[in-house]
Amino acid sequence: MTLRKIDNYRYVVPKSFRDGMTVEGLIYADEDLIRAIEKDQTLGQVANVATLPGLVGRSLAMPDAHQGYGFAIGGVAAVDAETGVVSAGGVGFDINCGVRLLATELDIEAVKGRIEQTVNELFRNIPCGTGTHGLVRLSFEELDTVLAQGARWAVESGYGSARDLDFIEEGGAMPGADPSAVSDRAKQRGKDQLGTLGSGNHFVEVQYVREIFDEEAARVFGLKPGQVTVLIHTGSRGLGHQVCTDSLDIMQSAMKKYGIQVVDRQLACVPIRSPEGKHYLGAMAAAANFAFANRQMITHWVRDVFRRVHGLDEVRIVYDVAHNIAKMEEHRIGGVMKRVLVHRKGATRAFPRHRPEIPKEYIEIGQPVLIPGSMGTSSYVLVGTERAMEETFGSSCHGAGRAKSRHAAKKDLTAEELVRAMGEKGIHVRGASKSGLTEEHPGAYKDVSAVVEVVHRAGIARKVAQLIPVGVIKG
Amino acid sequence: METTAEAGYRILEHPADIGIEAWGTTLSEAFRQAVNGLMAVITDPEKVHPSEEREVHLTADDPGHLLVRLLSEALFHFDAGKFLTSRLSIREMSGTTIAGSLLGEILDPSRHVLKLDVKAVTYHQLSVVDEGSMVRVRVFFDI
Repeated sequence: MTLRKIDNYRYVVPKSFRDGMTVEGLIYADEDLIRAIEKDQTLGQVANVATLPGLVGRSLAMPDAHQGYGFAIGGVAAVDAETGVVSAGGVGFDINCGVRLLATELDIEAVKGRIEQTVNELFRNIPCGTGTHGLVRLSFEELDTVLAQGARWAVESGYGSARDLDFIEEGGAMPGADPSAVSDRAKQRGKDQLGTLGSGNHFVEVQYVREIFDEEAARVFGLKPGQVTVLIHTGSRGLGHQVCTDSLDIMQSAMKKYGIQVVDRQLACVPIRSPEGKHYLGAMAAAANFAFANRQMITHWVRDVFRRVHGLDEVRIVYDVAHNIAKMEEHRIGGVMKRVLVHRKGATRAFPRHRPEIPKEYIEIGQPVLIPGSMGTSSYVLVGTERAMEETFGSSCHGAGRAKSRHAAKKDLTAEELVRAMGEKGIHVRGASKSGLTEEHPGAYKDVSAVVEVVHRAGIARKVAQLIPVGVIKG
Repeated sequence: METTAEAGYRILEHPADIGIEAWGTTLSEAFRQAVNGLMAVITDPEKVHPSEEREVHLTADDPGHLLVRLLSEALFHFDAGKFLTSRLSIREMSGTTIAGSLLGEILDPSRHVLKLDVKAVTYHQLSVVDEGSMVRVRVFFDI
């Protein structure tokens, strides 16, 4: 038994797909994207997740889904808060990897001549690349404060203003963070990495708004055509990676105690209410806070560059979203409100208007959903919808989704060719390493516009604006 | 660090993944080769001198779990302390315990080129197979 097409944007993975599935899988894709998804192990991974204890609703995959570890990237799964399990692999190694959108009052036409300088200054100002130390070295004691307070620590340390916190998911500090649940090893990895971009697909991009699709939402988010914006994409660095490593290790052994068997070891999980489950969720929230503080510090350095290069006093945060996270939320399931733990692994929360979790400035329109594209293509701002609440636990896609291995991508072109090709499109690129650039070239990814179109037409988020890059720095 | 029919490693790739297959005539040798493979993903292991050591004492539930713990150990020393491993020296080993040391040196950017930022060692398609005359292991990394 294989996939069942429901409509042009929805495919069901029936329970007969694999033994042990307690719920169906549901994949959002059009015909082209589903063909891409069928090529790797994504379907099997969606089915595997559907075997986890306590799963409610369906095991979901967004149109940018591709094969991951345990969970597919682009996967969403909710479990009963009382009887369900938490899976460290369901969040992933880069805990609270996420994106933050900043908006300036500059118009692209007025500043075109200064973009190259802006990119060079950003590259100088923001530590990036493999094995880079940050500009801040923290004691374990200070680090514990970061883990407890997240972006609030950064603001109180002079990186930004209290107003910024209103425009970050969770106000920049996840509740329930437990710094004592984070191992010394994770802290050793993290203490010199706060305020660093990292490598891989992480970036800071200078962009402008090319098109507005939803006038009302764009007005509320403060976006208009031609406006210069900045998108920051990074996460919790080595600290988060180690928290996940430690937790997977603990869960491997603890599963036996709880009589849990999984079809893939990377899906290792423990009951939410078990000591190990609480330990993981406390450590995960602490790592998420590290990431919020990280993006806040990078925001500060971006503002510093715009002040020096453009004489700009204000660079506003539009929003900051996590796309690797597990969160306790209230959702209506079978007509009854229920508390569930929603795992989003490479998926973005997409709450509609009137949800109490979203900034009061956006309460009448819904939360901004930020979708970064691959280097040199475009990014999108969407807004959460009621339909997402009904179907996807208020979740949507998170990006373009990788289509080619890094190795294959590297063979496509040299770093020099890439920089030249980007230059011809009017995009200034600075990268810490040549291989880091070529592995991330746009051809290595699916078409972000196609991914966003599926999400929009399926109704699990609505398009608001398209952003076009003019400069990018990469690790 | 020559790869031969008796002992060696090769790098495995597909979208968003990188992994290694390593082999040797004993479990110890296959694990030593797996450490070499991980380091070859991160840097050029030929350029790393075995001048310092980091003790390794690990126990695990099974050989696969032990392999993940061992490679996670090498990765931790690199990410937290910039220690690049040249090779693994094993004093004692069973299918669920290992005692020995990682020999290597602190990253010197003038000599060492970093290739990929490995975030973590995964359990994805993890395997340790004793083929009789050969032990073959496979492990994937998150990058």
